This record gives sequence, C-alpha cells and structure tokens, in this order.
Amino acid sequence: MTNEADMESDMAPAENSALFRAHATARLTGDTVETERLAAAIGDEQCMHHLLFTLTLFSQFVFEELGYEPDPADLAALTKRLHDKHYPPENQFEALRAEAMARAVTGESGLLNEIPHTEQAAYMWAVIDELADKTMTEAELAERFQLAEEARAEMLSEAFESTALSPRRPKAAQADEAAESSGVGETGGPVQYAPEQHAPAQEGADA
Amino acid sequence: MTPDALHRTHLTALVTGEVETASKLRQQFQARDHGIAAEHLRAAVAVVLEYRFGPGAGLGAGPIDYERLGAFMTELRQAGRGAVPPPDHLAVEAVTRALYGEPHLTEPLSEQRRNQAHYAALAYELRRHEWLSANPEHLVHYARKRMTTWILGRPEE
Repeated sequence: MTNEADMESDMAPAENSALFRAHATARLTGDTVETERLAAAIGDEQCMHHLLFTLTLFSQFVFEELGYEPDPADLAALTKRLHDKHYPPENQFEALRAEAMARAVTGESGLLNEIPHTEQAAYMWAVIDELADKTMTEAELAERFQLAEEARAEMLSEAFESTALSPRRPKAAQADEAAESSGVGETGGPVQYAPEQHAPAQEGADA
Repeated sequence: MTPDALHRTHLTALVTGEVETASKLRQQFQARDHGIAAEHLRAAVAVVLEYRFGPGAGLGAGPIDYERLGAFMTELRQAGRGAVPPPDHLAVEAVTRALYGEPHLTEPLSEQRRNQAHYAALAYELRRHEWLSANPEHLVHYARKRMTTWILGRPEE
C-alpha cells in the first residue's frame, strides 16, 4: 500500500504512459478494434491515472479549440453537432452533458457533481473526437500527450500539497514551486483547473 | 369533468402548489392525458420564463441570453443546495434552452425527467414572483393560449 501511495505522488510509471498514449492514439485515429484491445489492457489499478490522463488531454483540446472562457454560442453549436452525430443511434447520449464536461474544465467545475461519473469519460471522448483535427501527425499527438502528462503531474502534486496529510511548508518554498511550474504551461496554457479564480467549484463540492 | 376542464384544473393545482389535488386529478387521466398535461406544464413554463428571458419562448425566440441563463442556474443551484436527491439542474437548463431555439437538448430526456425539470423551473419562478402565484388564473389562461398556438400554429381567434 505504501508503495502505491508513493508512486501516485511521482510521475506516472512509463508503462502507464505508453499504454494511455497508445489507447488515445487509436481512439483519435478511429481504430476501434485497437481502441477496444488497449482499453481492455488498462487495469483497475491504473484507473485513477487514466482518468487524470483523459481529463487533462480533454482539457487541452477544450482550451485550444474553445479557449479558456468558451463563448456560449460556440458551445451551443458544438452541442448541436454532438447531438446530431450521436443522439439517434446511441440514444442515451445527452449532448448537454458533453457540453457540461467542457464547461467543467473552464470554470464551472461544480458541474462534475451533476454528470454521472460513469459517463464522464465517454462524454469527454465524444468532445475530443469532435474537436480533434484528424490529420494530426504523430509528433503533434506526442506533444498533446506530453502537455497532458505535465498537467496531470502538476495537479497531483497540488492535490497532495493541499491535503492535511502533507507536512506544512514554508510559504517561500511554495511560491518558488509555483513559479517553476507556471513555466511548464506556457507553451500549451496553464492547465491548473483554475482553482482560485473560480470559486463556484468549491461551493458545489460539499453540497 | 370534461378533458378540457380536467387539464385546466390540473395545471391550476400545479401552479397553486396543491400537489395532492394534482395527484388525485391524474388518477382520472387516460393514457393520452399524460402527454397533454406535460404540454400544459411546458406552456406554463414558457409563459413564466418570458418574464426573465424575453418574449417568444417556444414560439421561435432564441438563442437565450446565456448570461441571464447563468444567473438563473446559479439561483436554482443555491436554492436546491442540500436537497436529497440532488436536483437535476442540467435538465432544467435543457428545458429552458429548448424553449429558446435549442429543442434538441430535451430530446434525450425521458418524459418524467422533462416533467420534473419543467416543474422545478415553474415552482422556482412562482416562488420568486409572488404576483404570479397570487393570480393562478392569469398564468393558466396564458399557458392555454400558448398551447393553442402550438397546436394550431396561430393564436385562437
């Protein structure tokens, strides 16, 4: 148990990363057979890492295609496209929940409490599929994955620092670290789940 | 009671918050009455939401003012905090936007979820505007006019 906990605070193990990347690549290139095979290879113990990988990759696409503060009209248009694409055949598809996932990573994180957890990954992939440029090269994909993994590592370290379990650190050390990590986001945008400026997230979380 | 009077009375009971009466009236419903009652409810929601989002709800107006929609949803979430089971706020957003040019948003919702969302929106707006709940006849009248327009494609002569 202690080993697992230690690993979670580190960067993801390399084999996780390779598997998640391969799965995402298959998903993004529309290789359904390979997607299913790789999805089955993702074990129960990797679920948290995979969820975070998907969430951060999803955020990258949302930020790049819709911006940090998406225009509601753009979101509505995306939602209509998703509805037209998925609703009749997969008739449990609620396009508004897909839109809500995109809004959840751009300031309305309280919405995560209103979308069934078991459906969140599927809605994220539906949005990624719709936003992703299908002609992305392997190098471009690798860059997306790299950004997603950096963002995930950053989120994890922030999460651990914010718990009561972590030893208190002097303020100066935190400030240094924040300055370092903000450099990471400069190429792809700060994927920090914008915790401070979006207070509604905290309101919803403990309701 | 004629079917017409039944629906008028049922909607009036919903507007005045007499849930027991409404429930008893529903026992007299034939199979098709449930759909008709759902349309009455939707029409009443269209009428009350116009005070907030402007005229033309369910008549082709739209898109909604998303800023006002955000304020509405924030109010609803604050009012519904701590409720068990948690209210389906996204369904309320869906039925609201559906009345302002995004009807596809309610397509995936079951009739029950739609009804609950419509009722939640109606009940909230009635609590907020006391003059609306104080004059249920006014609201029921306009809701029925709205339904007539939906059915005939034009207002009644």
